[in-house]
Formats: sequence, structure tokens, C-alpha cells
Amino acid sequence: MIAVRNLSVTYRTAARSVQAVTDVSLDLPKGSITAIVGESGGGKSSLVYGILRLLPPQAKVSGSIIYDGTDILSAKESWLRDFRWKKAALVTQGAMNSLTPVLTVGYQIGEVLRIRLGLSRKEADKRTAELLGMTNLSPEYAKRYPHELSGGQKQRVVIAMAVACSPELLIADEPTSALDVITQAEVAATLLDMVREKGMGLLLVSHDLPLAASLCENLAVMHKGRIVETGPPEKILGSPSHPHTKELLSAFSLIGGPG
Amino acid sequence: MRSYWIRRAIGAAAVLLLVIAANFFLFRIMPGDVVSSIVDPRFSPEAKERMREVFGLDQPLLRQFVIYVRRMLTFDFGISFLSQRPIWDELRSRVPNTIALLGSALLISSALGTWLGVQAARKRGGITEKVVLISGSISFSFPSFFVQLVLLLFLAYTLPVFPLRGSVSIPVPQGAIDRMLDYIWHLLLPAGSLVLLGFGSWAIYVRNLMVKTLGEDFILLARAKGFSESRVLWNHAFRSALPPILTIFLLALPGIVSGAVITETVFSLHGVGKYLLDSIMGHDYPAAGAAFYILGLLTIISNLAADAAYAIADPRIKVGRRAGM
Repeated sequence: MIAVRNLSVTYRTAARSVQAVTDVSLDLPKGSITAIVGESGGGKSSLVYGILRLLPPQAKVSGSIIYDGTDILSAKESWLRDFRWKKAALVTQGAMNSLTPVLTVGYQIGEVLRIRLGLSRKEADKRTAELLGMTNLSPEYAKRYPHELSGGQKQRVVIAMAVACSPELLIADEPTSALDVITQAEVAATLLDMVREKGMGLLLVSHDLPLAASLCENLAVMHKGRIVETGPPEKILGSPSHPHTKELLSAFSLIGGPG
Repeated sequence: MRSYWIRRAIGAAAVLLLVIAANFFLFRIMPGDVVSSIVDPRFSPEAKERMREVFGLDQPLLRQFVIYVRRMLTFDFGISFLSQRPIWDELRSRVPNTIALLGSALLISSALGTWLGVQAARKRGGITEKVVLISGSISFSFPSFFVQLVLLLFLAYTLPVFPLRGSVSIPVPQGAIDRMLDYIWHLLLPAGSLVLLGFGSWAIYVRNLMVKTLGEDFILLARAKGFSESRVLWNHAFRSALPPILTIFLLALPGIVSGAVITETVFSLHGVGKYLLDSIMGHDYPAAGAAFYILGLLTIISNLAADAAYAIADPRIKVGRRAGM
């Protein structure tokens, strides 16, 4: 379990400082599916990147994020490197620039297996093919470069890479945002399959409230750096208490979204 | 992939032909008649005409050009107006010196500059970044002949650590190792000065490129994977920044010509660039043309080599089926 306690994140530039996250506390029990929703710039990403301690150097962070008795925010570099990807892995927007452009897909998945799990090149190749198959990609995609793949295919590769070390928690930051609606549904289904099959926890970050609610067991609504509402999705969708939740919901019903 | 190389080869051949044509016509529209520059003005007009026949200058221009192209391609550069010796014999001994000077200078300055650029990009606002940016700016803002003359003055004349002139000592030292050490000793100041003048633009360019690359999503992801900082830096960031770095390498290659002429002249090196300048000064245009041609050829060959490196570094180029091509 990962416990976020009184987390605040402030970005300081020469001109001004912006508080992205204010006093957030959140529990992520092992194997649970949690979704954080909210508008863009609401502090969602700052919160989840804090869990992997991947915030930029100009971010000032206070509070604590405890995993197994260790505070991730003050842990030693070696502990942190071991924690990353083996305990918590990241799924970013694959359609954007998440894959290194000059390395093949197979190399990039295999690199994780070789470096982090100590697999031989041969074992890594075999496992890479399996991982691609699990995300509904043909193993021959291993030889391809990212620019030869569609947005949905790249997203699948990013997912395959994230589950390579069977982490306890998968952090997915807008994993379907840059995709068309049909691909979105397929990728979301793949993601959910993987999580259920391997008993991994999922922390989903999205601005798409109906999609997030349909996937998660626990929903947190974030607004202006604070978590303003939290609970099971049925309860929040049925009787939203915070104005921002209502806003998010009405935005989707207005355009006849998948609600 | 094959069509890529065919296109490159055709391009290289076209550039080669352009170099030859430029050589041929440029030297013919330059002021100063060769014959009058090598014969006594008191010669009779008939004797001058005989001279023109000997050198083939009485033939029609186009015919001269066809013969010229054939001779360039077979390295048959004819006889020097000035020394009356075969030009290729004079050039042959100079080519290795020019390659040693410019090759070592280009490789060392690009490697050093690239490494410094990567170190500078590692930590924004750090002391390394400041030192690299400042020394880099100084490096590429000084004119080369000035720096070289100052170095020559202080490190070869005032403080005679390095030789004042030439590519070898006279008499030439005995023994292969002694001769090689003597050669390197003569090369250190000219090549070192080119490195000093050349690393700066590399360092600043690579630093800017790496700063941009390190901000990409795939770098964040590589860090999230728990990779070591050096793996993130070299295997993901630098590897991705390599294609544009090679582009700059390609663009720097034509600088070979000016580098050879200035540096070899300042340090009185036995090289193609010095030969080019001496030939131009003496209106020896077969010799100047040949020297120009050799420098052009070196540039084209290194360009092809850089192209090959680019094709290996950037997978997107191998596909070779970009839209509209």
C-alpha cells in the first residue's frame, strides 16, 4: 500500500510560484483501482509523478509518500531506482513522445527486462514477444521503430513495457487521451485486463470522468490542487456533492459523452 | 535503403563534377595570363604561341574542359607551370599531412565538444554549464589565424616548446618511432589550435540539443524505469540527439578547405592547403586546380562517410519512403 500524507507541491520560477498540490492525503491499497479526475492543470499529474519522485527540480515538495515504511520523497537514490518500475511503473501518453524514437520497440521493452530483471538477451526477446502478445500486438512489432506505429499501437507498447516487471502499482497518466474513441475503449480494456490478470493496482489519472468512473473502484475528484471529493464511483456519479464534480459531469452530458 | 544510397552516390558525383567545372572556369576567368607570368616579356609572340600550344591552351574551351574532366578523374593533373614537375607527384606526399591535420582536429574537437555539451546539459544552471557556455563562446568567436599566430609566437618562439614551422624536423630523425613522435610534435600546435577554435560551437550546439531532448517524455519514462542516470543520458537522450549532431558534422566538413589553407600557411606545413595557396599566388592554375580538387574530393568522401553514419543513427532515414519521394 502507498499512503500519501499532506502532500503539497509548489513550482517556483524566477517570476512567481504556483501551488499545484495542496495538502493532499490519499490511500492506495494494494491491488485497488483508483482514479483521479479533474480539469487540466488541477494538480493530478504533480500528485502522481510525486509517487515516483519524478517531479522537476524546481518543484518544492512537502509531506510524505510512504511505501512499506519508507518515505519515497526522502529515500536514498539506490532505493528509489529499485522502487521505480519494479514496484510502481508508469503508463504515459504513448501516442505522444513516450518511446525513444531511435530505438526499436523490442529493444526498449527488452532493455527493461535485461537491466531491471537481469534477463539474458535471448530470454528478454522471448518475454518481449509474450508481452506484446498480451497487449494484442503481433510479436513482429518488436523490430519496428516508434514512428512506424499508430497512436494506439504505441500506447499498447507503453503498456507492455509498464507491466514488464510485474509492478504492484501501475500509474496511468491520461493513457487514452490522445486516441480516437474506438481505440480509447480498446486500450482501456487492455489496460484493465492486464491489471486484473496480474492483480496489480491501478492509479488512473484522467479528465474523462465517465471513463474513469467505469473502470475504478475508488474515485477522487481533484480541483485546484485539492482532493474535493472521494468515494466509490456510483456514489459520486449518483449524488455529486462538490460543484466541480457537477461541472465535470455536466460537461459530458452536454456533449452527449459516453456517460 | 538502396535507393537512398543511389541518391547519395548521384549527389556526390554531381558535386564532384561541379567542383571540377568550378575549378576549370574559375581559374580561367581570373586575371593574369599564365604564359606571360612564366615567360620573359621579351619573348616573341611566336614563342608565346608555342608555349600556349605546349600547355594545350590553344584548344577550344569545351574540348579543354572534356580533357580536363577525364584527367581529374584519373588523377593525371599534368605538369606544374611553376616547378615543371608532375603535380600529382608533388601532391601525393602532401595529402597524408592534410588528412592527419584536419582529420585529427575535426574528430578531437567534435568529440570533445560533444562530451562537454552533454555534461553541460546534465544540470541546468550548474557550474559545468556556465564554464562550457563561456569557454565555448570564446572558442568560436576568435579568428583562427589570429589565435594561431599568437600560439605560434608564445609557444614556439618566446617559449620554444613546439617547432616554429614544418611537418618534420630537419634533419629527419632516425628510427620509425622517433620519426612518428617528431611528426606528432609538429602536428600538436596546428591541430591543437584547430581543436581550441572548433570545440566551442560543438559544445554549445550539443548542449542546446541535449537540453531540449532531456525535456522529452521518453526521458521521463526512462527515469521512471529506474535506469541509471548515465543510461538515461547516453542510451536514450544522446542516442536520440545523435542524428542532428551528425548533420552538423556534415555541415562542418566544407570548413576543411579554409581550415587547411589558413592553418597550413600559418604553420608552414607540407600540406595540400599550403600548396593551393602557393599555386594561386604563382598563377599555377593546373596545380591550384588539382589542390582544390583534392580538397573537394576529401570533403565529398567524408560527407559520404557522415551520411552513412547518419543512416545508421537515424532509423527513420532507412525507410526512405517519405511522402512525395
